[in-house]
Amino acid sequence: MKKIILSLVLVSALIGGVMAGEGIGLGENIPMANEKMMNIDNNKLSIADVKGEHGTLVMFSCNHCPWVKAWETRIASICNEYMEKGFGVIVINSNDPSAYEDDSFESMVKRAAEMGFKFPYVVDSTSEVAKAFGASKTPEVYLFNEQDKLVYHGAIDDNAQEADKVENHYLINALNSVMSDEKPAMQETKALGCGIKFRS
Amino acid sequence: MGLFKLYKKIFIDRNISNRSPDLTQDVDRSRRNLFVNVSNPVIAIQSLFAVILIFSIVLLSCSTAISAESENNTTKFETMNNENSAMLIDVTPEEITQLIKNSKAKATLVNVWATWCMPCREEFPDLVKLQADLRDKGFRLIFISADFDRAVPEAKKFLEQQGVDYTTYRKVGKDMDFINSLNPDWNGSLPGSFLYNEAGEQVYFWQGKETYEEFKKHILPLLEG
Repeated sequence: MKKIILSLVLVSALIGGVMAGEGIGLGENIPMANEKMMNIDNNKLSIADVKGEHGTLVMFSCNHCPWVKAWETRIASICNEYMEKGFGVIVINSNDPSAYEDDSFESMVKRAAEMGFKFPYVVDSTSEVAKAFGASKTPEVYLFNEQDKLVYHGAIDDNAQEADKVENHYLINALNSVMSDEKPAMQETKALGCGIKFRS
Repeated sequence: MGLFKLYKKIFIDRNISNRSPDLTQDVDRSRRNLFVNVSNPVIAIQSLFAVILIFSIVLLSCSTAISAESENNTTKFETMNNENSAMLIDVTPEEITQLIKNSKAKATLVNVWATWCMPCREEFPDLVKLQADLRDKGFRLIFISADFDRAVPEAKKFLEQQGVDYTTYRKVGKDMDFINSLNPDWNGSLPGSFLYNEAGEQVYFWQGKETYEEFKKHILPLLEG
């Protein structure tokens, strides 16, 4: 029994270590900030290109995922609102469209129009940006302050399915904290989401 | 009554017309003695045929009735099976914890899946096989769907397609509570699988798709221990 528990602890530590090693942690800089990605307006731009006066919101998302769809209205509304408030916003699709047809560039253009996205929705054509961030799910949020340091990583809020039952607006709270030059009370959260289908 | 009229038309009325006038007066008596009057060989043979005919009709009717009833029973049985198969019960994180605690199995594997999750769907048959192979040795598999409300019919359909005829669950409530109730180190990726020993202690967990052999390798020591 002790061996089993020990092996669990070791494996957990190993997994934790590997996960920590793969992605960025709080306080770290924006990875691959100058990587140019194709936007839905057919212009290439990088994360550095969209930086705002208060900071930068990077969100890994896609079209096909039910979790994204559940949050989509909130994604559009939060991103549009805080872009106007002085945040740089960029939503990145790192999925391989051969796995999910709905994640094709054409579908992205269509979805952005339907949902009224005022922010860039770009294609990570090699999935390398997602890998550099350590992003594994959609939607997955990374919020950087004006010094480009990661101050919040995780979910949009605590209830994907029922917007009216959200108790913790993690992302909105973090955005407001950054606007007030404060550290978000909750800096890391987890949420269920669709796994990113990395391009091979 | 209908059978008697038929019999009367075929046999008695014809007999009456064929018989001598003196017999025509005994129609009522002939009816009364239909089954016992053997003094006249013609009537006896006709009566025998009548008995066979009526008996055949009765048998045929019974057979049809039995067949119909049997068909009804089959439908009812199938309906019952459908009602009882692949149930999907909503559970909160607290209820999941209790479920695991009360499992009583030597080894319990909790698998979190969803219909939209391709790796989950690919892994699913291995898990179903695992349950079938190890159930009698003290293994219990608990499926928890992470599907949303609108995907419940699709989830039930998938469970049936996979031959799952035992109770399964669907998570409701807050995501983070759910994730942390299973393992705070789990990042929420699906599929997620969590192995517990008889005492309800988690001894292993997997993020992402795994194989039959990988699961079995960790489950068998718990069943044999």
